[in-house]
Amino acid sequence: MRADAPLLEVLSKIILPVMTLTLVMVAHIMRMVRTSMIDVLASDFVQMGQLKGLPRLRLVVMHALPNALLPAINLIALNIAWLIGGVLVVEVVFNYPGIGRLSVNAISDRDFPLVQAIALLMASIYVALNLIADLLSLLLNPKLRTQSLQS
Amino acid sequence: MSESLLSIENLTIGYPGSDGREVPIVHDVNLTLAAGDTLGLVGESGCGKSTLLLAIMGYYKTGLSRLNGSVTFQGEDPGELAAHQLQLLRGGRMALIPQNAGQALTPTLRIEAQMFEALSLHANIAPAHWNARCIELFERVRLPTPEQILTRYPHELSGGQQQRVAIAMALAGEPDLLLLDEPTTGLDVTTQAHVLELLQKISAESNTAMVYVSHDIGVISTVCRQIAIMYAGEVVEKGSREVLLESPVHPYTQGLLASIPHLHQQTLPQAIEGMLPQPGKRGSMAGCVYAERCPLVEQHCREMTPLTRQLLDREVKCNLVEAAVSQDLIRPGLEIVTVEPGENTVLEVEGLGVSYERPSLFRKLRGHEPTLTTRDISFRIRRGEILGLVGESGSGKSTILKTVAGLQRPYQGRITLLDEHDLALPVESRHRECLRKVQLVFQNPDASLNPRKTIEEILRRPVELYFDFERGAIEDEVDALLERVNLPVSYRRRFPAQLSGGEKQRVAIARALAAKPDLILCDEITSALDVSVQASIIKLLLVLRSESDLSLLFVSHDLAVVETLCDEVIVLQKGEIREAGAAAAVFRNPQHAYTRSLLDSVL
Amino acid sequence: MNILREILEGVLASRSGKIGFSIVIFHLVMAVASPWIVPYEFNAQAEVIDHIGPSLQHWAGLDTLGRDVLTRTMLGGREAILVTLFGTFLAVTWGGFFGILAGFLGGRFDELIMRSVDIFLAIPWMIFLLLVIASFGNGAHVMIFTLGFFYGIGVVRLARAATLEIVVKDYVLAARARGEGTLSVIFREILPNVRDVLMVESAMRWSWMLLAFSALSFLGFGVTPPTPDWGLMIANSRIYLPLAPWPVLVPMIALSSLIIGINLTADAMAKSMGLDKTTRTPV
Repeated sequence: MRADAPLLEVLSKIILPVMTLTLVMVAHIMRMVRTSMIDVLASDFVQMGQLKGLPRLRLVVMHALPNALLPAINLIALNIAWLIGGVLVVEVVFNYPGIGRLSVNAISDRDFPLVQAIALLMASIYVALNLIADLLSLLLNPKLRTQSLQS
Repeated sequence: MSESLLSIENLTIGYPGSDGREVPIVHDVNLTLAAGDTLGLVGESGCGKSTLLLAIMGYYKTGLSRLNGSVTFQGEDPGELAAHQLQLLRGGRMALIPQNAGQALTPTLRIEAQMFEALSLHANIAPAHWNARCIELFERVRLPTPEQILTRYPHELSGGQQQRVAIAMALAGEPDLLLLDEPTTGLDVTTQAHVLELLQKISAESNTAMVYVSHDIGVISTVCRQIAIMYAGEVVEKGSREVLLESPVHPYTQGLLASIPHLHQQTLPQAIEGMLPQPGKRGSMAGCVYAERCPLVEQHCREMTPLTRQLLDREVKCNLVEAAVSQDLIRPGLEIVTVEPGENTVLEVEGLGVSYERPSLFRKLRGHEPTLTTRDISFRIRRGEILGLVGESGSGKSTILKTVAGLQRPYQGRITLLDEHDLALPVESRHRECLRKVQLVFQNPDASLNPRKTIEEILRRPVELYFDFERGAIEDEVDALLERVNLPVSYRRRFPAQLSGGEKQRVAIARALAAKPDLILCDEITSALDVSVQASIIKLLLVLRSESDLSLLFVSHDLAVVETLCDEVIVLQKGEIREAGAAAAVFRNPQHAYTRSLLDSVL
Repeated sequence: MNILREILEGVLASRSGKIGFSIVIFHLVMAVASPWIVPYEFNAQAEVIDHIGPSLQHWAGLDTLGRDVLTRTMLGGREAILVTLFGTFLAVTWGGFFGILAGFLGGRFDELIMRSVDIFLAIPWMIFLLLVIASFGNGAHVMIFTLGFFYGIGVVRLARAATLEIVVKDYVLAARARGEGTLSVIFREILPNVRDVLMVESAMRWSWMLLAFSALSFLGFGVTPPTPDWGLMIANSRIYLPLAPWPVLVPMIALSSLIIGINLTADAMAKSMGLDKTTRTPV
């Protein structure tokens, strides 16, 4: 597939690499969210929720879940960042003309200006992702938005 | 006879042990509660009171289950209800007020959302009226600015406010029975007094029945008309509050009451020999649970499980009821003796002021005066003297202690040790000798010992650090230290996790003694201990003081303990000294209004 | 030594732990002993090639150059395991040290370390690794230092977080009040309590490092041919996957099994140390 192929063609060729990356990420994220959820389900306010007579679904979705996702968000952002680094291998395997393969070739050819440009681009993406993660954290965690009265 | 609202019969809760036998946490409990009546469950840590309370709601922590017996509430057994019926019951006709409201409220939802949720589930009013009902409930629990509170998140409220919100939420369903799990733990004395007053009002006004769990008999006797004493999962005595407090029968009840320090008491509180049993660690099921520690114990007590005997005015579970009734088992305590302090001054503090701010250089240049957490603190401790620092949280008492210890830098003032060492320096700048002479003991026994070190390693360290002992001599020194704090020498090889709270605190004291200090700083060292254990630590400190002429700076919020232990006392409020003088004199004849209000809040 | 025994007992307590640990031990033994037990030379090309699939003489078949797949797989883990073990050790040591230091000292030093960590994490690691290898060659020491450095950064964060929890405990305060020096406090009070978390993390790091190493070899930046290595083997033979799957499958199974073994061991370790909260004891 040529690097400047039309969108439709890109989409059809992109499925397999995306699925590969997704599978790996899903495994990591599942692990993290599971651990976080287990922790949250053991906390006082969830127990209290049961003792207040909250229906299970409501308790899990409205009370436990937002608190479980909080620590997971930061870790997920980190993971995505690492994945950006590892996308190289996937591109080589699927022969996908992406930035990963470009960087490998650039390094092999000692084309340093190109490598610098790619590195800069990837770093910017990472910073942007972190920003989004921080904003999401702010959204989900009221403690970060307001001052706590407890010292 | 009116049908009881709540009836618990032969209730046993536990889990299957590793050897196949059942391990009970709560054993054979029988209780009844009439509508509108108030019952207090009193016991120390590990007695199963919280487990019992939750079982009334049909809730068992993971791994626990009901092994025997029944609970009947308004004709139904919560343990047998289907899920949706339980959901209706909990928060509705029966509501729980938790121990730590701050942790019990969902941090990611506003108060409004959580209150509305409670109303939608348990109150029979239209959504349009929810806001008004919330305001009503908040006013009932005396929360000022109810509209504002609704818009806040739990962490934005103070401890007292959180607790009131929890009470309001529990009242939303107009319950017939309120279950309270030590809701005033962690609150200031004055806040606690307000909350208790509120609870009394609620009970009286709406005839709501209550089951109140606490380790603090003083708190319980304010709110509850009936009291049941629990020990090692069993109810050992039960009766009305007047009867129980004035003439306790069961040896444990007698021991427990005698170990509580009271204001203006002339004698020391008495400790109970032995250790509190760990939950579920009973050896055999036969015999009385209290046999190991009971002063009356006879051989058959260890073999025969006592029956609950109905006396005229109460129920008692003891094999030797007649003997227990006829004797006053507790000998009068030791008289509190005033000790003349030595001549020399051990610690002198003048004009101490501490600030937590760290202003930038720019602000300092502009002459910015930082706000002081404590100001104008001056006092003196002489040799062999015990000085108490009392006050509520935020009064600055811990700050002062930490500054003397060198963990906090003073902003102004002088601190001098033994007329030679300057203690206004942080720990890093002090000489080793100076460090040795001042030692610290902390509040929480679980956090003050390194869990990865053996007791021996913990006690060796200060000895190695401050003295030049030979190998063999260090071991002897460690043994000697253990003996001084009344711990068996065999504890050397144990890890902190294998010791009880009281034992850990003794190790912490031994660690301080290892340096052979002149002054020991105690930061609320009895606050995290059970009452009967606290009494033994008090006795230990007094013994150590008379043996080695030790001086102590004792910080606490518990006025009765301070009066018992300390020679002199300083009362702090918002970082300033309000009153100072001999402990007995200050507490008997308070001059300052704040001291008086503090004393009034003591139950 | 006591510590190692404790950990071992904990790992072997559960069935998954036993399985995982056995797999890991198997691989380690294989890595050490393989030169003596391989049936063929890793470089030897078979003389008569009439059958590329598994046969009696070649249990796992032959690869594209006619070399015995089994031999190359058995030897394939040596370089990878060697480099990654040292790399992990380096990563945990330097990462742990700086993480604990940052957590303990706090203040500006902590800020400095955390910002540096953030900066380094933003660098796309693959590109950086490739650059280093392109510039300095792919000798074992280069790999060890680079991988060790990079993976240590994540350890800094973790060690710092664990230290922050411990540093507020009273026994650390007591040590400071005694006048113990910084290093003394770190080694006597903090390290023994952070140790557990670090051990579990080391195991996980090792598995990721193995994957990274294999990825590097796959791209041609890791091991120099003809040295056998799993990643390299997969790269060489993948074009013929539909025709001859064995030269790809066998090293893949080897690598995957080692990773799974490490993960199972790490999980069992975490459970026995109480770091995994899924199982709770009542009361």
